[in-house]
Amino acid sequence: MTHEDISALYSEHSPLLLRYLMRRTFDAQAAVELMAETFATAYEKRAACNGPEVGRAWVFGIANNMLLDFYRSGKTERRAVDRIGLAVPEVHDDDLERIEDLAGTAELRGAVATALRDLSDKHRTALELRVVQERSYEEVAGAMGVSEDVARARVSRALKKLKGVVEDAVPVEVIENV
Amino acid sequence: MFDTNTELPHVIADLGRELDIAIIRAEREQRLTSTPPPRPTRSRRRGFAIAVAALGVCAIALMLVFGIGRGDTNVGVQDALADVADRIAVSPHPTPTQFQYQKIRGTGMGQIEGGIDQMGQLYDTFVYQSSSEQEWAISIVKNGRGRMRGGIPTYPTAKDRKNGEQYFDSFKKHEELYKTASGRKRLRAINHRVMTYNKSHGVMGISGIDGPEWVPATWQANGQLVFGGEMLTPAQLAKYPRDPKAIYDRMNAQASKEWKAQRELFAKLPAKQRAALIEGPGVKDNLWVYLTESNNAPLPADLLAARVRALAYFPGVKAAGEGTDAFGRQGQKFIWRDRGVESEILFDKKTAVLLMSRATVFDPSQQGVKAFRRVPVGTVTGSYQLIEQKTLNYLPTFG
Repeated sequence: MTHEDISALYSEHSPLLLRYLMRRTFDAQAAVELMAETFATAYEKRAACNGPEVGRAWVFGIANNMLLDFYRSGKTERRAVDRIGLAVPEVHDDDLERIEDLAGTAELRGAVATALRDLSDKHRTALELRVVQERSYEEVAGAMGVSEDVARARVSRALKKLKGVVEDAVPVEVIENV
Repeated sequence: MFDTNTELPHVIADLGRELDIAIIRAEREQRLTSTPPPRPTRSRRRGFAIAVAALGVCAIALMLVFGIGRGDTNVGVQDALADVADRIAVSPHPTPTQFQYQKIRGTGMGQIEGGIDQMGQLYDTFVYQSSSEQEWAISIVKNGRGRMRGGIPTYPTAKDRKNGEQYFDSFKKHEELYKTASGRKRLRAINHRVMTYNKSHGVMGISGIDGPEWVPATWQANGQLVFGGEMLTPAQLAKYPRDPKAIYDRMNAQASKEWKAQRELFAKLPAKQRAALIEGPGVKDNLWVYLTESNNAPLPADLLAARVRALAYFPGVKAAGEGTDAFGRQGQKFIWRDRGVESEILFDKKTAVLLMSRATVFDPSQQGVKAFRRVPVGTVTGSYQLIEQKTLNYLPTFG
């Protein structure tokens, strides 16, 4: 892929990617930074992509990896951004509103809150311990008085129920092809 | 699909633009550091294509034929600066009885209590070229809190605006003070204009003229001018080294000295002000200014040329190919990136005069001044733009 292809990919898919990232971070500035690092990485590795036709899937794949790092470390690495000298814009209040509208995150928060209430106590507790308090599975198991396997199963089931609530604009096949 | 009724955020367009800029830069650097064969689109004329093939893949030769970039990253920043220095030497300069006129726009962002202030100034300066006779310069300054270009607001918030206006009002009061201060000392009359100097306020002005605002003089009463952070008489300037490394070493030492003095002053600031700053300028910041500033004074051409060469010793300085100033004039660009700010200078392609100098924030989180950490990326914290330059045989009349 050429650098024009990257620019074209950006023009076409950035709104979608921003929505996607916003729904997974609930943080507009983080979403913008992740987008910048994604496209900076995409630019550097453009030779590895077979062509603009599979561009979207490929960029989303990079974005997913960025997201994983983000979840683990709580911040965005700016390695590729710094290497190519990309200046990441800051999200201002009026842009923040638009991004939230675009991603429908306000409604999403409401939907997630409702879904959480609908979970059974044991599933909700497991989820809170694991996701909110960031405890290890061993600790979750200990706190709930169950085996680690059971703890894992409860967290997994709770997440599956929530996943149904998160209505996504990105077709499933895009994520699964990368 | 998502609701397309929602207007897309500006940040998407901004990031897209930054991405394009970064890609273009990365491409250019890649092109200059590798030894590529000629691109098909460039060799439309067959004669050139054959000539280029004959030249082989010598990158420098290619650049000479096609003018790709300026060959800067291949031949190095030292050579690029030497190129500028050479052109200073061969450019015409005013004679000792002439005046150099420059129209300059300067901007500066400063920390004031409670926030940030941005000032814009338009200077007309007339500098007499003989430093051995008259030690004076006239600066006629129109101050303004101009709106910065690029949509960056003059004040980030209403509170900043209020603070800025109060600060500016007190500045205006000082101007009045300069105009009406008593005890002016009379100096030589030139062309029937009386030049006066007010020693206690360090202000120069021209009597009998309506309008021009009075500003603190960059020249001092005892005939010294500022160069490399030092106050030097013409005799001392004549003795200042012309060897680039010696210039660099001397300015570096002075920068350290200045920095120590700034730190001492910093320690004396009231706690509130100190809390607002994280740190003042570093040694390197002072040094960058000494090496790149436009002194607005009749400095000897050979000294100016040597100072340009001295910049090559500054760690982190890079030749950045060609740039353009606000008026579209082309020049050789040099940059230095440090702590979230890109400092840039641009020398005119033909005359090597300093066209523009600018500091742009690319990472606000690294700012040393707390208030600056919330400025948008792309904010220009300070700039100097030469608008016009002429050599005059006499001072024009005013009013």
